[in-house]
Amino acid sequence: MKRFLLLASCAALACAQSPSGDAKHGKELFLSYACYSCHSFDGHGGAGARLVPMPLNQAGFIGFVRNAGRMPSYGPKVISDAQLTDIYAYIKTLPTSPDAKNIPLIQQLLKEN
Amino acid sequence: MAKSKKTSVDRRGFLKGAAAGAAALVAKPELASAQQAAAPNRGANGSAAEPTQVALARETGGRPAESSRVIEHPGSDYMVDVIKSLNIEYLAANPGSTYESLHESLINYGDNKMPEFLTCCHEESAVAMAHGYAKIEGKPMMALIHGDIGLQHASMAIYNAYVDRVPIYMVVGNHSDGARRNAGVQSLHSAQDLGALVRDYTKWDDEPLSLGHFAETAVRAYNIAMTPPGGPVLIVCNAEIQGDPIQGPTPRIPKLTLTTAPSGDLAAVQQAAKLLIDAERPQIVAQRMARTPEGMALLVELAELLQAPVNSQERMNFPTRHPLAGTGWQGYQPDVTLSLEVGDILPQARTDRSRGAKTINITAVSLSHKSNIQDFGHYADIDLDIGADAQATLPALIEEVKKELTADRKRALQARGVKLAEAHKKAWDDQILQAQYGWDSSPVSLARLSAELWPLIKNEDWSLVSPQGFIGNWPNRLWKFDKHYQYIGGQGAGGMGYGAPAAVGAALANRKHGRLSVSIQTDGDLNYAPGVLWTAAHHRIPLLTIMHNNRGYHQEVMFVEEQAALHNRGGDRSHIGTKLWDPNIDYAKMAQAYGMHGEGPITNPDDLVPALKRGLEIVKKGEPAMIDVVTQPR
Repeated sequence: MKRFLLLASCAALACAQSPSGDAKHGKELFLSYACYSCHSFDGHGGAGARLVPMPLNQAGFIGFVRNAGRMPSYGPKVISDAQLTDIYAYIKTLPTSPDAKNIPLIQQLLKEN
Repeated sequence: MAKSKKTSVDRRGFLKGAAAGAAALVAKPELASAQQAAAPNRGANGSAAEPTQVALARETGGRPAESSRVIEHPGSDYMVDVIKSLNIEYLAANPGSTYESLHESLINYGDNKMPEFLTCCHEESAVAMAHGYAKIEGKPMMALIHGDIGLQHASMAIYNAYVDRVPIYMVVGNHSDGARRNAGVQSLHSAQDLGALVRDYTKWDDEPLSLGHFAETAVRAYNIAMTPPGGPVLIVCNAEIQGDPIQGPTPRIPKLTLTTAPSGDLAAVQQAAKLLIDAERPQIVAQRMARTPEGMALLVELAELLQAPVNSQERMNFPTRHPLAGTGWQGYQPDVTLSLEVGDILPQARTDRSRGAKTINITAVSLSHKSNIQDFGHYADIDLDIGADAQATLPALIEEVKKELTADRKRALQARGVKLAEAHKKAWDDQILQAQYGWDSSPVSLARLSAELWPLIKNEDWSLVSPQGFIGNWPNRLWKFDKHYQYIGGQGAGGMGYGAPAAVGAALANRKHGRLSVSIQTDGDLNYAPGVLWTAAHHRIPLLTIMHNNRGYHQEVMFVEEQAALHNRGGDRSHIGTKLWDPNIDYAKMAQAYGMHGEGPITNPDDLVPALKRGLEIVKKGEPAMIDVVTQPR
């Protein structure tokens, strides 16, 4: 429960910071457009780059998607600026990972190396 | 629920009709055959085919008149003697009538020992089990295959093993003599040249015409399978030779002597040694190099002599935590590459050429080419191409390096080694730190899954019996692999359906050594032929299967998505034809249905360790178990 509240408060904060996007709709798009397939459901990357924490501002994010490098580019015919704004808003709600220093198992693995 | 009498197949009625058909067949077999030829087998409504008289007779236990004869000493008994001389531990098979005489001889005359029969639910599973077994044990297991249909089922697994250079000993039944085979099914399961169905990706095949011929072929086939590059071999075993009585004294069984692996030409090896010693930044790339534990020890010796980084792929060629494991420090630009049993040399050779580096290639595949399948890869510009088995060539190369290495040069190489060790440690630390991302996520990250599993197995004699390509190579990035049997590598030809049966086969090989076998199993792969779970349960093969359940053929989701973008269309339909959801597959229930412990789906990472512990406890008692974990895509 405590964890849920923490996530909820983080999400609320992130939404407040990106007022122009609808994070709920962004989540639907993130899933239906299969952004998760490369970036994982949590945005922490997989075959594709990590999106959390998002290093780009909203304009930079939209610009990147339009003219991506390694990732396929998506033009306005495929996905509108408004939709990308919503996806951006959703990504901003995704929780960051705990620091490796606070994960005992990772510290143990580092000691073994 | 009522069924239409016109369309349903009633079992009782089927048996009744079958009995009558069988009786007619026994009484007048030739007439029955002629009648079948004249009248097509149509159902009452003209739409559904009915079984032939012969098929009915076989289905119901009725046999042609000849079954009333007694054959005390069938040829298949002698075949068992020949097979036993090869010291084969197991045979995996899905039953088929083209080898029924041999089947019976194996389990009764041969007492179901050396080889022991393993019941499989699919021929692909049988061959892939043999594939996994050979990667651990270093020698072939037998797969017994039904004519035509069984061999076609097996074909994908044969292709994987062929490309993976893994020895498999296959025997396939056939009714070669058209005058003696029954009409109908026996013809459908026979061929004039059965080996042709898989010859493009079988190292060697033969169809012996007598028992003496069988003995020679059987021993030769084992030899060929084992001679590097290894591969699957196929013996077409005629039902007539199996079933006919042995006439006169039995032929002598030839002695098996394995052909030595081809070692590189000495002058070429000396040249390679000189290039490597003089190199400022050499690298070693090893793929299907270490055939045995000795191969791994030899590569460690060579790398340490040269103080060269080793990029190991496909097999356990090199310990993952050795200070020389990896690709060198950031910006390390190799000036000489030693490639050992690399499948397609072109990418490496092209990179080397672009920076003026030399490429040395050692592979036995150069000595064994076929034309159709393009598994030999591209032709490439190589500076020194040694056609020989890499493992067999390493002792000579090590000796030449030792001879040529001066004290001054040795000191310089040691200095390079210190830098490489630092780079190795940094690279590993970085990889471990990557595991933090998504640590608390649901679905569970593959890094978290691999990290949580490691402390539970690291003090055991463990073996990872599944590929790592679809799980982000996380075990390789987090665990300490330092034994040859700790990893079996990938599919060979990338054919899905390999993972589950290869894991069971490898776990079977590990069983007698008391090793703990662990598989991180992709969901798409398991669904090709999940019946192998029953084989594991039935034969008490201890194996912990942890599902990487990302609910789809995930790589294809990405590919379709990429194509949609390329075609300027949205990716919102990329799940069509790629995802395995709606309904989600319940793997815990699947495991339970096949007779093993199954639990899950686990979606909360905090539930992972208790479930893994429960699974391991069962496996340590000698049984298989499955834990279903819903995971991030990769």
